[in-house]
Amino acid sequence: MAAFIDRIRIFFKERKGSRLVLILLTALLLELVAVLQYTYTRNLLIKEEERITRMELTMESDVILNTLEEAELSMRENEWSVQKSLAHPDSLFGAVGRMIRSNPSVAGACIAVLPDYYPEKGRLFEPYAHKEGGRIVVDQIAGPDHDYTLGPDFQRALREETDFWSDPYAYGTDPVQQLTTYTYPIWDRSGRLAAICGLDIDLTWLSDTLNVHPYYPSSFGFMLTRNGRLVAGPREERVSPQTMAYVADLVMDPTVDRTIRGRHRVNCIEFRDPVNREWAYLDFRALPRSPGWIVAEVSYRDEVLAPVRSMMWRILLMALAGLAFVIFIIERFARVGKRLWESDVKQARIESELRIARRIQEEMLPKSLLDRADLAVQGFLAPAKEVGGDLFDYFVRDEKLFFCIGDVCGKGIPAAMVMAVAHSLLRQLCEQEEDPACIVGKLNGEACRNNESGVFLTLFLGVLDLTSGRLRYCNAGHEHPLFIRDTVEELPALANVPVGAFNDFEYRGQETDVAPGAVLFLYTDGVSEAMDINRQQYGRKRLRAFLSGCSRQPDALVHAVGDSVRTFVGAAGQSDDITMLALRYREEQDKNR
Amino acid sequence: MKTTVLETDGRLVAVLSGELDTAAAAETEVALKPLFESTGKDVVLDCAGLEYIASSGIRIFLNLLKTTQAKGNRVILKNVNEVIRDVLELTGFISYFEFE
Repeated sequence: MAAFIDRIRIFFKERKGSRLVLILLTALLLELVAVLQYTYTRNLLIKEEERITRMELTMESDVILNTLEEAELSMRENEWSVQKSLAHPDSLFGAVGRMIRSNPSVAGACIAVLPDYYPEKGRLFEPYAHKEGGRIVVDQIAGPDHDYTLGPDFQRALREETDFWSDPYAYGTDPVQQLTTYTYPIWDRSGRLAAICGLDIDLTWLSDTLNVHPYYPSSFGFMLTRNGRLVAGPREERVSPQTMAYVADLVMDPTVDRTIRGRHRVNCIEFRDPVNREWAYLDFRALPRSPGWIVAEVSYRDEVLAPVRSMMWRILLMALAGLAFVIFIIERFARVGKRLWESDVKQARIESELRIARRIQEEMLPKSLLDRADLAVQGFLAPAKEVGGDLFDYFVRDEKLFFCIGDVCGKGIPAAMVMAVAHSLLRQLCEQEEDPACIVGKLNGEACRNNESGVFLTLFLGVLDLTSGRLRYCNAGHEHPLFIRDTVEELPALANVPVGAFNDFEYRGQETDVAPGAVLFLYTDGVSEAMDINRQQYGRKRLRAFLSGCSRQPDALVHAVGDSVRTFVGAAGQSDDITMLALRYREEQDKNR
Repeated sequence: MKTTVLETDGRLVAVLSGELDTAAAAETEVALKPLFESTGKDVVLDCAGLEYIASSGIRIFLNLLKTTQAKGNRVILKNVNEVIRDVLELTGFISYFEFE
């Protein structure tokens, strides 16, 4: 525990700096976590966009390819019927009708017979079927104003002698239809190229299909021909022609940086919309077969990353909350640590001051055994706390021994302060006076001045004439001293009140002769009222019994009593100041003995 | 140490029990505050349950005595046992208190 507190102390010695560093480190860490989380989520969202777009492009390609393949299949199924009808030109009307009925996406069908194939029908002959208000209308449309041999698809079919798809084109007005034509050459039984069939497939739905985007609201899809001509896309209200032209150019410009991913070779170009200045992703792929149209999709980065944006706020808030929490903990810890440290310092200071106070107190007491030919005196003081409220003193002046023992009510510092004042006053008074009652009276007068708290001290003051052996004394409410001769007896004492109790009290002194060899033992209630763990007191009776069997040498005596009391209290420990004073007066003959 | 203050027959009675040593002195002084602050009432300290009194406790008794007497009232000690009577005798305070 002490080691732990020491560590806290060391840590907070330069605590302001350490705290700041700790907070900054935490902030940095939280920031790093937030950045990592943001980057991770961002990459995840971009991958998600790629996945969604790839899926959509694949689906759209499949729909277009299905449409084309279905048309091709219809054409092949009708090939035989057309071939058979070649023998009778008018039966080609029936054949062309079957062609339009074969497939719901077929908007129109024609059989353009090669020039002069039927001499009876003139140079040109082209049965044509189309839908008009839900009905199928079949006509012969060739004439001077419609020479199909000039049409590019017809010429190409003659040239290449193979089937092919035309690029989509707008047809008619109100509504404008997006059509694409499947051109298919037919040979007669003699192996002569006889006619070029055309199936018009309606692709008007493509623009809508390419623009259903549940994932990103502003995304749009479109389709380009192999040459980059826009044939399906969003309405003008949604996407400006300028943007459309720009993205179409991007697709066709092989110099633009792009990434190509996956089995379907989806190209991805990151670009900035020239109209709204938003960053966007352009994904596109070409149909894996002829006619090689290109389906494409544009997604705006803001919308792709929208979830991470709202998440970023949450992450930021959480990071802030975390930081606030860490700061709170650190501040709190610092405060507690500081308080611990301060209270430790305070405690140490008080302890050191108390040690000094104790030393001062000890120095006020007589230091060594007074050992003269006719006199031996020994004092003993063991305070219960660092400083005590007990005192003893003795000195010789004019062949008179002044001695006293006292006990301030209470313990610890307050008692010690009163004791220190009383002690120095007493010393002064003893320099001027010889009558104990007079000295105590004067001390009382001083002690009662401004004594609001009513602190008092019990005091025994004696003056022993070392030439005559006459003892004059005054007892102010203190434990009666014991006279140790053959027996142990109390020194009779008048019931004077303690010093500081009543200002007007008249202290009365007493006198007695001290027999040669007698020991006078003075003590405070710390001796007689010392308690063991059962709260039994040491008691006067035990003290007297102990003293009767004890050494008569003052120094041995006080230490023996001290040991006896310490043994008695045992584990209970010392609860009050223990103070003793023993003096032995010897006559001349005592010394000679 | 336990202190209970109650009023009987127009006198404030403090019933003390336990050991009134230096450690208990401070709290006892607080508990006896109503007695210190009363006016026109005699004050009784019932010491039947009081087993021991240290000089700090005597100081409280003495202060109460001075305060009460200054207001012209009396302090009466009741049911004082031998040990406490002994302490009061030794300190000479016994002659200042009235006993019942």
